Amino acid sequence: MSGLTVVYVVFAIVVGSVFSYLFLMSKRHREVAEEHAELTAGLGETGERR
Amino acid sequence: MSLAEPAVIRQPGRRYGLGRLDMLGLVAFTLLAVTIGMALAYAPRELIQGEPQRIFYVHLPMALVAYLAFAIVFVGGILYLWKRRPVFDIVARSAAEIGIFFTTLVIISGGLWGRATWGTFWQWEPRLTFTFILWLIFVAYLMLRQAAQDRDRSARFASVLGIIGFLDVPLIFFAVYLWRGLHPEPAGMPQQMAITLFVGFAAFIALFAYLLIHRVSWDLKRERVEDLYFALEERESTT
Repeated sequence: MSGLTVVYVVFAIVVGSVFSYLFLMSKRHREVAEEHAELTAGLGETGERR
Repeated sequence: MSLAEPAVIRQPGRRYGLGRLDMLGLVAFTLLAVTIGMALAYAPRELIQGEPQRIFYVHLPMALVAYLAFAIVFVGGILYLWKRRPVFDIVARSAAEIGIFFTTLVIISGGLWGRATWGTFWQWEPRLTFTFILWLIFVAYLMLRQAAQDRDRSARFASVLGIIGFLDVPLIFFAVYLWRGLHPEPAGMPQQMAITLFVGFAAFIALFAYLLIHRVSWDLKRERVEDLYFALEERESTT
């Protein structure tokens, strides 16, 4: 691998990694939001039971 | 727990966050696209290294942003040890993760660039060795965060490790002046190269800010979830 090919490979790795990291971050946001909603509902239920 | 959060972090994806944060992301990705375009079409071909030198326009800005991230870990660590406010620890550990992300990309892009110009992916020369040590220290930092159960204790240990780890950054920077290695000392460059590099710096700084805000916002939400678990456990134990 030489010349421009290596440059294209590096740029593709950088852009791909940034998008993958952002995808992971959105997944984390979604999961934590779901967990938050479940726990809030759970706390509401225990509150009612008391 | 009181966490002082800027509006953009308090409600990401809602009233305040979406507009500003998306704008920052748009700016970052536009600048990244412009950097890549300029590196390929605007910057002149370097006479000695040829085409692979174009990697420089992402390699150097990513290294700078990684150092910036570890500087934030350093400052965040000091502020946490001093003030004991969780928000400093959250910012520090978010910056550490992004710092590792960019350091990994610096090592990969540097390895591929090195293979094309020096004929080797890796050599134990001073700057590369100190960069690898930096990467290891901050991987250990994140592992420590995962392993420890007690929040404050984990934050204190990690703060100390982050402060010590950052001391490696000046060694990386001055390695080319102190010891002979494969990395050259900084030299002047034609205006077109300098402009492309400047746009690259702007792109990666904007990208770093965008990622950091996202990461901090997630960590703040996670802290709230952990607090809810505590509250739920306490309620269940009293009923």
